[in-house]
Amino acid sequence: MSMPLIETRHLKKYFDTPRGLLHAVDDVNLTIPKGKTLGVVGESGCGKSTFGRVVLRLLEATSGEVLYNGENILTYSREQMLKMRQKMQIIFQDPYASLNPRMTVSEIIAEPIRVCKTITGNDAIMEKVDELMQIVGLADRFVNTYPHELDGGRRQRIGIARALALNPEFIVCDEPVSALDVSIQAQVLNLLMDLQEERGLTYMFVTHNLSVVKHISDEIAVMYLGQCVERCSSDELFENPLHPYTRALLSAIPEPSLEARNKKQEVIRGEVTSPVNPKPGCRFAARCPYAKPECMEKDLEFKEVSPGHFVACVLHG
Amino acid sequence: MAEKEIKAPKAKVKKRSQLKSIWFRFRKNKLAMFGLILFLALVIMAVSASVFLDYDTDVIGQHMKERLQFPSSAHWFGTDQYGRDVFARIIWGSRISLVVGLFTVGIAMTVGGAIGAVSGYYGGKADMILMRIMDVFLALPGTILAVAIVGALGPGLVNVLLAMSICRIPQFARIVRSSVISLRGQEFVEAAKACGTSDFRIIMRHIMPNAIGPLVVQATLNMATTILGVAGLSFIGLGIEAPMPEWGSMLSEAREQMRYYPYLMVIPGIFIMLAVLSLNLIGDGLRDALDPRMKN
Amino acid sequence: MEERLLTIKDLYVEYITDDARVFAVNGIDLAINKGETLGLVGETGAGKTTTALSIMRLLPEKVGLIKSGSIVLNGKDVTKASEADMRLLRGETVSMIFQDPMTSLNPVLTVGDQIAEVLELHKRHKNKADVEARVDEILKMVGLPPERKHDFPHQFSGGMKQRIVIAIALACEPLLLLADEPTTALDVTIQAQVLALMNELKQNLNTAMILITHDLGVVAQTCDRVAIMYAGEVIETGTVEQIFSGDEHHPYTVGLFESIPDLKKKTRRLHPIDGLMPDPTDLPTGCKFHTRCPHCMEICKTELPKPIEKDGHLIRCHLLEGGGRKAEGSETL
Repeated sequence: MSMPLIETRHLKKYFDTPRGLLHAVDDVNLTIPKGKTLGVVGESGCGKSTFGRVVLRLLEATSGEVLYNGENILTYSREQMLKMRQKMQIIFQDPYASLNPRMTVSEIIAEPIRVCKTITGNDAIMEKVDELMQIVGLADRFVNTYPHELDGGRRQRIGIARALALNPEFIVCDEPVSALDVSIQAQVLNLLMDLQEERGLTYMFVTHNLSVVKHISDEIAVMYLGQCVERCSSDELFENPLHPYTRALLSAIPEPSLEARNKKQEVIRGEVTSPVNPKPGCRFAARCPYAKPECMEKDLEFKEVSPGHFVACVLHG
Repeated sequence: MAEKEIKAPKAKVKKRSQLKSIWFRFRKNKLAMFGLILFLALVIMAVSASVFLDYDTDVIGQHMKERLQFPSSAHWFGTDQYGRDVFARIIWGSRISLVVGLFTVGIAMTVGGAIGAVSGYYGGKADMILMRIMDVFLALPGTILAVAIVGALGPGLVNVLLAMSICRIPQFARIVRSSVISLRGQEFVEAAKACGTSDFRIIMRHIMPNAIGPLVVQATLNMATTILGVAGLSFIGLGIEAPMPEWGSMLSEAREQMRYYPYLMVIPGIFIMLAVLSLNLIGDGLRDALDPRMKN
Repeated sequence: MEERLLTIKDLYVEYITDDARVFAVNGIDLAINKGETLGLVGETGAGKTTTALSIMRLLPEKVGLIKSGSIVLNGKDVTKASEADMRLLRGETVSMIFQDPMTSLNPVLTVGDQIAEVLELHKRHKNKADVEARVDEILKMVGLPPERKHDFPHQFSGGMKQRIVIAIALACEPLLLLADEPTTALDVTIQAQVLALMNELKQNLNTAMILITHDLGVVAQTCDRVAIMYAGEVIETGTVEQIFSGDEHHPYTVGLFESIPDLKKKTRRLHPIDGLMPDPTDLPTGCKFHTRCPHCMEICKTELPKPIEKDGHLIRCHLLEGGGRKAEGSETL
């Protein structure tokens, strides 16, 4: 097996809160091969966004390793990290909050270049900005406009252009289409996929939208309360979901077709509890219809039950 | 595919400079332009004072025969209890009042802004220490603090300026800190971090421009209290020394004659008001002009 | 059974701001029967929420204006009703659930008090004890333990808050419930719970509902009829069967369906609608969709298509004229 571009080993991020230690990311082991997309799915509060930020070192991990081409970037010095940042970028969920309202489109896109000084000279930078705008499908006439004058789809394109400005290899997409209307959402998804094909980008696609994640991902990891409960190829996950939580998630998606209308849904009870000072054992056990006493006894192992299909559940393996 | 928007044929869109577009937005605001003109008029008045006025005879020279005359064609604004022409003193006084107002607020804004930005951006211990120091300043009444500082340094224009600035630092620090705290968690700041932007650049380029609104308003409001504050210091003998005219001290000197010669008080009052009004209008206009969202 | 509850005829709504006139709703016709659920589908800016606010007469004062048309709710024209009448109507005949449960509850009142307040406003109960008993009943109805009525909103999770919002909306058993994206802010598993609850309550109370959403999946699961809006117009309306499996559709509807990644099929590219929603201050002439339509003809650019009807399935598109359908006025809706 070739070396993955990104690998996390026992990655943990705990937050100190007044109520106790919040286990936002708890021992997550994932790999992303070069040029592929890993989808990270889960509900709000499952730690998926935190995970993305810890991988990029926008947040410092509590413990564990993030390997980039086999090197642990968590031990990198400030200077090494600065270089590294050019290779890894992030696209945000909220195209409203992620763009500085006081800067024009061209200034926003040029900012990473100016900071990292990958290109010098005003004209050369503006040329690069023009090129980037064309790549993401933004017309020239928006050069001097401010983000608030544009709609969500165009703003998200600015965010993408900014992320591409440094020619990164790896991009964390944090819910990049959740705030957009369906038709615009599809335009942006197509753009992201085209860019991946053209530039061999590696994506980590964080989202709660299962139909989007299926569409764009090669592999999917399902997270629940800071832990990864299931991981396998995208097709396998939808055909043969093993973890009860994954199954519940899949059955909860309202399908836009009539066949599903009268199908009895597996509505799971209860809500996500908080990951503050979690008890040992399976974190989903409280809501799980198949929970057994042994689920609560000790932390479950993340086992490979069939080639490439990992799951953490006593029912399997 | 029409999905990608078609590039206009070689019609290069020129990048418009930030300052130009701010000026463009500012100019559209009629009230702000009025404020600017008014303020410029006051500045011109201050600058040109020495051209047609002689300090020793016109401004501080006493002419007891002409004391307490009501405004007339000879003395447009009348004369005070020492027979000095109020018009001349107002014009000369504008030099000191405007300088004190602008410099005090300028210093307080810069220092307070820096303290607030550091404190809000880094949080934690730095924030804790800086803000407790600011709290100590805030706990003392401003005037008393100023008195203490001038008392220690001795009277004089520069010391007054310094004292007034120091008392105003905490207010600016507080305001900037709270805006910075609400901005530092925004995703565009995170995006800047993601490409390795230094903290200094993040603060100066991404955070401060978004925090400028409340700062500008606070600054213009502060000008008025500063001018009056200097008057207070002058009154107890710690500010501008006696014969030198200054709007605030003219106002307080006029108290004794207020009953029978109200113009002595009204006229410096009007000028303080004009200065403050013009600055407030400019401040409002500037706040809007700096915010590109107000373009439409 | 087929009793008409709400009829909207030729409704035009504009927002007038300092520098622009926003044409939010441009001549829509809608009808809803008692106990029926209508899905109002469309993208941001299609005029869905404006329509709902017009029914409630809650358009922002001085800015939002009902230009013409009528909204007859349970025999009363709300466009002409007095403010006092409207106050009675709201809550008792029609009530509304908003998208964000976090901001639609008052943070300083207990949820019990907030439910009781609605009951007291409408003077349904004689004494405090009756009100309290009803509050308990309502909380049980939405699946929350009555003991929690003494808790404040921040002590509940998002899904529970939305249940409380639903409880408040249904406290006086209105005939019509306007649900504006009620599950958009919720996670999928919670969304499934809330939708199941809404379905159940609707049946038990025989409340009619207008469900505003952009999620066609939600529509398929809950609605009887669907109206698809674009740029302030209803461009297609019909039963769910007609919309989801009929063979003739408005090109916009087709585009909407093709924009959603299909869970069953594996496709590499999606086929979204090109372009963007038109600017509501400067709408195109003719068919509003012609700027983005892949089948645009000359006539589309100048003439607004009339609704063409077949078995109650209405489509506003020139493509279908002269086909098996006949042009009709909106009366046959």
